[in-house]
Amino acid sequence: MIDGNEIAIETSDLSFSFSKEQTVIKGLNLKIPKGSIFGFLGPNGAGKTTTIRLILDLLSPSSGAVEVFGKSLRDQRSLVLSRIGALIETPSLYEHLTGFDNLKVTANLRGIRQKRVGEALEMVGLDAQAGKYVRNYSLGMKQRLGLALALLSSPDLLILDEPTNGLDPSGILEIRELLRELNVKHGVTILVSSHLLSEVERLVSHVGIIGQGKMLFQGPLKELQQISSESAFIEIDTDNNTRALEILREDHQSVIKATQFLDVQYVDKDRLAHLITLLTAAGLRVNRAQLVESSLEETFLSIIKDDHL
Amino acid sequence: MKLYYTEFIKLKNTFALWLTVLGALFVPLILFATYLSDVKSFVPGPGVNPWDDFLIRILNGCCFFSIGFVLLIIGLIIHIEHKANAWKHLFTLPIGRSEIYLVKLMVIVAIVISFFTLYLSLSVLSGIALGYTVPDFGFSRFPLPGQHIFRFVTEFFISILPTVFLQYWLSFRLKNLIISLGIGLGGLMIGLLLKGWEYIIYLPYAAPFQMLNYKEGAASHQSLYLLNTVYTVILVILSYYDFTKKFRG
Repeated sequence: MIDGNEIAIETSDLSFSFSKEQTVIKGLNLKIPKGSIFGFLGPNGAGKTTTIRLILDLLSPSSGAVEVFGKSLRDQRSLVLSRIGALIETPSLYEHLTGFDNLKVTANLRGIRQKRVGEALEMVGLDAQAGKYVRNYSLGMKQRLGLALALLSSPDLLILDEPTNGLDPSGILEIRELLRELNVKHGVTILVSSHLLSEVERLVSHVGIIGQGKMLFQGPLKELQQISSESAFIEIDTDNNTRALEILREDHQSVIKATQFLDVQYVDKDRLAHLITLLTAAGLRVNRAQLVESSLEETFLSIIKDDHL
Repeated sequence: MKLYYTEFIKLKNTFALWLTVLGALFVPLILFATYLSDVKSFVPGPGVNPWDDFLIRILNGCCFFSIGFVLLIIGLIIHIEHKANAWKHLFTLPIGRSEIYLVKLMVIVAIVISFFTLYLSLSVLSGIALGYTVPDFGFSRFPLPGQHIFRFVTEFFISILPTVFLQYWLSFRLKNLIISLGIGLGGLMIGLLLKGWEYIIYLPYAAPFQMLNYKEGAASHQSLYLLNTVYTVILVILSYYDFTKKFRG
């Protein structure tokens, strides 16, 4: 249970629609713990960017409310936004200006001292290219500059919408390390959206899965891993599967499926050993006893798929 | 003040500065060259103030060209934000939308005032230079009607204010620079072509052409200023409300 002071972002029954017929966000209750790296996942068009836009006051909800660090976005907009750094979709960059000038513009608007501009550029590894015009930057460099813009105010909350777009594998790794460092060393809460779990799996501590504007799952990554491990089963094949099924049922084993093989729910290694002993003791020859686990990605996909059904 | 200064950083390496300088230089330079190329035609009769004729040309030039400059500079300044996809970034900063609206407007007004100042200063300078180059023109023998120029520029500025606000509104609402400029230029064309029509003063874009051959205190101008003041108030309220409450970038 998370108390009020430990929540970075909380949305209550948040709904949004572009028109009467098209409700994009449906009563969303999102809770992001302070100090967490929250992976906001969902397929394209699920409502991730719309939710982020609602949190940043770029869109007005049709109903519901947003609170950031316990402060209402509607009532204390400036105070809330002063604690947030954001990168939404493609970074907002003035291509006719240098990287340095781009940051200087935002620094002036936020009332941040100029020294911080150099620090932010150094953090994303663009200090050497600071004097170069942004029109000459590669896609990856632009993405990093966008991240530097978000980091400029040393925010307590960083909101990144698909931040690794356009980055090469080493760039993705560097950004991941940077975000981890910001989280561990500076306690920055990070909300990072993606449509791929594999992209953020190694980074996040918490996960939220959204589908068709509804929250399908949210909680620590461990919880998702737990769901994933619960769906593991043992595939058994013997010389007489009909008899084997009787034995397993007599032993109160949870048989999920009995077709070509017998699928028994996996609990732990001891249970696996027990099943084999049970069947061999009954005089059956065990041809196959294989543990079948579903990956985290598969669990994620099955959560989304269930929503679509 | 820092917000205001920041808007000027955004204009670095853009055509805005050159447009202001070259736009202000264009008419005075053409007039200077025209007077020198045909001296006899422009030498005034005895006792005639050469500034009167010269100023009509200068002020008419202002009516024709300055409004085009206004459309271009507004489009250019606002298009910087559209091109950078920067509205969403600006709106997530801890500054009010009203401040963003006002600071951009202040920059536009400052540049337009700079343009008029430069245009009229260069025009007067070109008259003085003509007086020195060809003394027969008589520019140095007669005083410059400074008050007349000041009255014109004040009244002209009031008459173009609705166009400034309308174009400002269109420019932030329409991402495509060509469309907002096209609407503006279309309005100007109608205003010029139907200049003599009795109801044309109701079209804000027509106002500059009603100021052609400017005469101080003309009765027709009074209703034009009143109408433009009303238009300005309405457009300020509507565009401000739209920008601060509805506009999402």
